[in-house]
Amino acid sequence: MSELGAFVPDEVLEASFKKQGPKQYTLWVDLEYCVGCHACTMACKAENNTPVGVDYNRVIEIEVGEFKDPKEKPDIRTYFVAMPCMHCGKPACMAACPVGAITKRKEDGIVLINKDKCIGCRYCAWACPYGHPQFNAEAKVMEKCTLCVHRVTKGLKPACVDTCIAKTRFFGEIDDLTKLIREKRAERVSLGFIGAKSTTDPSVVYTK
Amino acid sequence: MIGEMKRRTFLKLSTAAVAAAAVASNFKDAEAAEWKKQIGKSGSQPDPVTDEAKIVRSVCLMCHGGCGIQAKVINGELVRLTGNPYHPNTYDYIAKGEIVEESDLDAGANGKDVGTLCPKGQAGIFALYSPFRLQHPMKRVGPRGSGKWKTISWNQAIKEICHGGYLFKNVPGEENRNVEGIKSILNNDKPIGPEDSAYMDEAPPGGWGPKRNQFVWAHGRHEQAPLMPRFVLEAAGVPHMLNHCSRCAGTFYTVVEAVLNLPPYEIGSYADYQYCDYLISMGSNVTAADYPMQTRARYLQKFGKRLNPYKKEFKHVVVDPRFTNAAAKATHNGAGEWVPIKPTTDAYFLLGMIRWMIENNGYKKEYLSIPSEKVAKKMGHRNWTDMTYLVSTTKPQKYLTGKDAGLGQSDFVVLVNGQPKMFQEAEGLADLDASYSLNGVEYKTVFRLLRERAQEKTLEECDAMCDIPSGTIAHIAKEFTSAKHPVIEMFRGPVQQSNGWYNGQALVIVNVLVDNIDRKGGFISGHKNYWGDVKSHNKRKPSGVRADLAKAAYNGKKPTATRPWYSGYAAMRGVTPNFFSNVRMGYPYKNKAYLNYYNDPAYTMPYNQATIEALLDVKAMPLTFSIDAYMGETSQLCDYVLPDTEYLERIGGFKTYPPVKTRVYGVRQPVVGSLDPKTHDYKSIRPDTKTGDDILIALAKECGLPTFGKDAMGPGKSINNSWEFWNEFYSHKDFKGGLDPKGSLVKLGGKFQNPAPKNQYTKAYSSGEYTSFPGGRQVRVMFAFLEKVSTYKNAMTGNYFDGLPMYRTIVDCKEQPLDPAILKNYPMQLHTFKYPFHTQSRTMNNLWLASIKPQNYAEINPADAEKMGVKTGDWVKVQSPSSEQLDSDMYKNYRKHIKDYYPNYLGKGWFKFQVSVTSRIRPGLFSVGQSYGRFGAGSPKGKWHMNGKEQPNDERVGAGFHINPLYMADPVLKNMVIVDPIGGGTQSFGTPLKVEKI
Repeated sequence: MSELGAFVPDEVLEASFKKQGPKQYTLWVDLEYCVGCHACTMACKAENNTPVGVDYNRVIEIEVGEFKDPKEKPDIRTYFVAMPCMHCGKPACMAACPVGAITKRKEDGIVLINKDKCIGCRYCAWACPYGHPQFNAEAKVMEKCTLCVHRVTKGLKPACVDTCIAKTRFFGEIDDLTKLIREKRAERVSLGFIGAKSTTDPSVVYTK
Repeated sequence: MIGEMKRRTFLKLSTAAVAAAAVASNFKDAEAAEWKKQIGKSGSQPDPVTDEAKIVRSVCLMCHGGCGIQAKVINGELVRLTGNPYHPNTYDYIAKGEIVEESDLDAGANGKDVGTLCPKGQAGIFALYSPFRLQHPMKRVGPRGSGKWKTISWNQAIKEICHGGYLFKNVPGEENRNVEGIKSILNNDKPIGPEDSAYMDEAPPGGWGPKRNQFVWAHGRHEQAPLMPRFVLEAAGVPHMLNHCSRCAGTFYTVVEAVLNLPPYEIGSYADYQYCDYLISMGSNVTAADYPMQTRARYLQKFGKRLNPYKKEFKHVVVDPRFTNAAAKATHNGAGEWVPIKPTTDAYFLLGMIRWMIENNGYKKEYLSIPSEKVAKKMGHRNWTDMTYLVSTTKPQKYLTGKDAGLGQSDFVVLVNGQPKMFQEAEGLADLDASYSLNGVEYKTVFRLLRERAQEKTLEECDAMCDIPSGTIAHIAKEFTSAKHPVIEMFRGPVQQSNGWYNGQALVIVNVLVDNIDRKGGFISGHKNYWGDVKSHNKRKPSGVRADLAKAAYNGKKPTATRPWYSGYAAMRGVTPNFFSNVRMGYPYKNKAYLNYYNDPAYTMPYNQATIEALLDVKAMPLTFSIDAYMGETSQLCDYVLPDTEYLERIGGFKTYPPVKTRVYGVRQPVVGSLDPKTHDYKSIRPDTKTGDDILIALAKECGLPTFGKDAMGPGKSINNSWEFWNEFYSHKDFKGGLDPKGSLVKLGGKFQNPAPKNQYTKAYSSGEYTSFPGGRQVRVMFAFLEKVSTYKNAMTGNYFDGLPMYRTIVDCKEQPLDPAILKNYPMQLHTFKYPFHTQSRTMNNLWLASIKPQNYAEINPADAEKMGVKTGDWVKVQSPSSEQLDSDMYKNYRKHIKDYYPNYLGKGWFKFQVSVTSRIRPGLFSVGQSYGRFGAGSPKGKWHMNGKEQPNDERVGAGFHINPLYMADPVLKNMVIVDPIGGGTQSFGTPLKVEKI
């Protein structure tokens, strides 16, 4: 059985899992339908057992425009932008780490911090254009989103994807996802990355 | 502040507590996974992916949506919560047969079919292992509210509560206070007399009822129906099962049921998001709130906007003082609209729409002219309306009957080409906009009365009142009526007001006018849920007048009443604030005992000072005890606190809500803890806590009440614990097999009708598709005019209410508008709202959820910020027209505590708040989101000691601000929040405030 009305059909997901590497697993976050509920943040916390204060996913709210006069029709916007790790092609965190604790896996492009090697200096957080790695104050090491590597290596989706209540967050191999987005969405929305592709080459795809 | 705690080491005492790392290392993977080496052993470790996890399916209770959950349990420890994919709240699928079976989905620990779960549901793990959870029964050793407690045994707690005595002889001032126990109270059938009531001249001819009515139950939620209603109504036999509905959405359900002629308690109506093309959400925080929050979000965002056959035309209009998350989505790519209506003006918007619709042919004339079931069926409709029925124009307004018209036996009379006819004898359509004179009295059709009412104001006046651009109402009404599948929905916004009943009635009428009731893409009601049965032996029958004066018609010797009364028809869900305000004066009769279950009115009630003062008053409320899993704001004011288990440690079940269109019942079962194989007694991971069910059964047995314990269901058929009750319930009517662990109910976590689209709609009616309602929804008439309201008198004025919506904003209990001088001196409006990751009083004491947004602010519009000279982060002071009472004798007990609970209280009725300036709030509002500013359940503002030792608290729980003390009191009653005289709902938005920069 499978989900009625799934936006990423089972075949695309299966193809992503079966593809022989090197490949890039990543997320597609469709901002148009995100309702800003933060379920992804909480699911990630529950799955990865992070302490209060560390969240591998965070949702920021961006208000645009001003509304002051009720005699005028309001014209404002609010965007909800979910920010996991971008699992960059050229991770700034990896370049910045003085002890080589960060690796980018060849088989699927997932970027991981080795917390046994980490000395907690926080250079990675400083270097990351998204401020993603966070300090676990109790363990005194840096932590980050693993794209649920423990799940995707077993053919399961990341926790944040599974829980999204608005069905606006998807997982797959970047080429498969990009092809799907161009077919289904890109006629009227632009396909973007947060920050230019030319800096750290983020892999997470956003549509607006 | 508590130190950083690993999830499973919160619980220091149970042997079941195991650290996550140890759990992970217990499982051998087939190969040593490369990623494990790549992340190392330090720091946070992810959950194991294993087929050896135990799966338990249950029902969430982090809000009231009833979503099925799936718990992953390893070595007796809850590791993860996801949605239960079998439950249609969380997943869309098609099953094979009529009823869903296990094989329909691949739903195991690592299955392909995964149910979704909102942020609150995900955080249930923290709740289960929370360091703030209570562990033992406790009795206060200081005065009420002093925060001094000692642990006692269950035996002592039950005995003292049931048998009374000099229970507080060691508390200064209570040495000689003899407390009557509930056994004596509940077995006293003598009538309440002058010794208990100074208001015998306001009692109905039958009296106030038996003295056992001096026991009052109040729950916030229970979700343990039918067990808890059985305790209150059949075992204790008292008529008042007080609840939260008056401050929540009781009026919403009741007014929808009244107009749409639905069976009572059928849970309201919402938009069918999946197939509509023009949606107006008025005071409905869809995507962030209401039930089921995640399902409505999914139906709107996945179906309404992406899979909908009408998605190209689809437009969402959000009418709300706040730019809600739904408004953000509606306007995200420019298609939708936000109408920033001024709070309290909903009637002007809705009646204004009705006026435009009637004057511009924006209504289904033929449909509204159908007078009977016979004609409805002939024309292929499943419902019809009272729009053609004649109503008198003198008060009390009633439908003209066949008898009074001299035509014969009939409830309604219509006109056919100007000639009166009994409605059942009309062969075709009747006259819609007409009148008729009989014996000097004029009778008008409901439609004409509605038109005349709507025309009392011009559209310009309405736009101005709502403070929206001129022409807005006309433009929205025009788009609405031009659409093929229009629907307007609401939740608390329009109805949680003193004019709430009428606002809700007007909104439903807008839907009726376009014939979208029960239609695909229209305004749809809930399904009859599956249900079981447990027989009751020797059950009692409640009688007399409720302590909140609801469901009662005033009929005393005095011409009018001292305090408001509320009809059983419109306020059937009760008016709890009326109890807390009246109990201090012993109205209508003195209270003797109060049981608080899963309830926090000291925090959640608007104008919560009335509740706090009442609970602190040992004379007015001599015996109070609370069943709570936390030392909540209300529990900390009681005499005894009996520790409840968390929701993940309960047996029970729950229905769901529209827009789910197929039948459902979710089974709630403990995900951790142990069940004795012989007795089926349940023990939680906090072994000295008990489920609410088991506490009530123990009380019932000690008091010798019927329907629990020995012979509960009949001679020789006993109910000794929660499991025995539910095993019986799940063995009858729609269920079989009880709680058999091998049975489908337990395995799937409920019974679910196949949620396939084919089961959702029916094409049996030629006028178009309707939702199918298995379980029976009869073809029926709907009432735009409400005779049961128009024939009920306001107890405080003796005047009849109007049967149609009225153009009003805020009115007091005597239906007078507020003094304009007050509105001038207090020119800002109070506003509040809910965040998607919060629920009432359940979530700031959950540190996971608290961490999403550590504190709230008072939100104000940039225009007001400029006028006041403030920017984000600055401090302001706020006062309501009533808040100075807090320094007076009216609150002589509460005065001692207020600075502990509200450190931002400055005295003389002023509170200070930190502001955040945002365009998401319309000008004129002072908006403070709910759930923050806690002073109990782990907040240091509600610090408490057990056996002399300070108990865990954390400043993060108490962060932010709480608006509830700043609601305005009713100017006539003075010590009660403003309440709708008809529907009983509190005025939750738009009360006046004065705000100044500090």
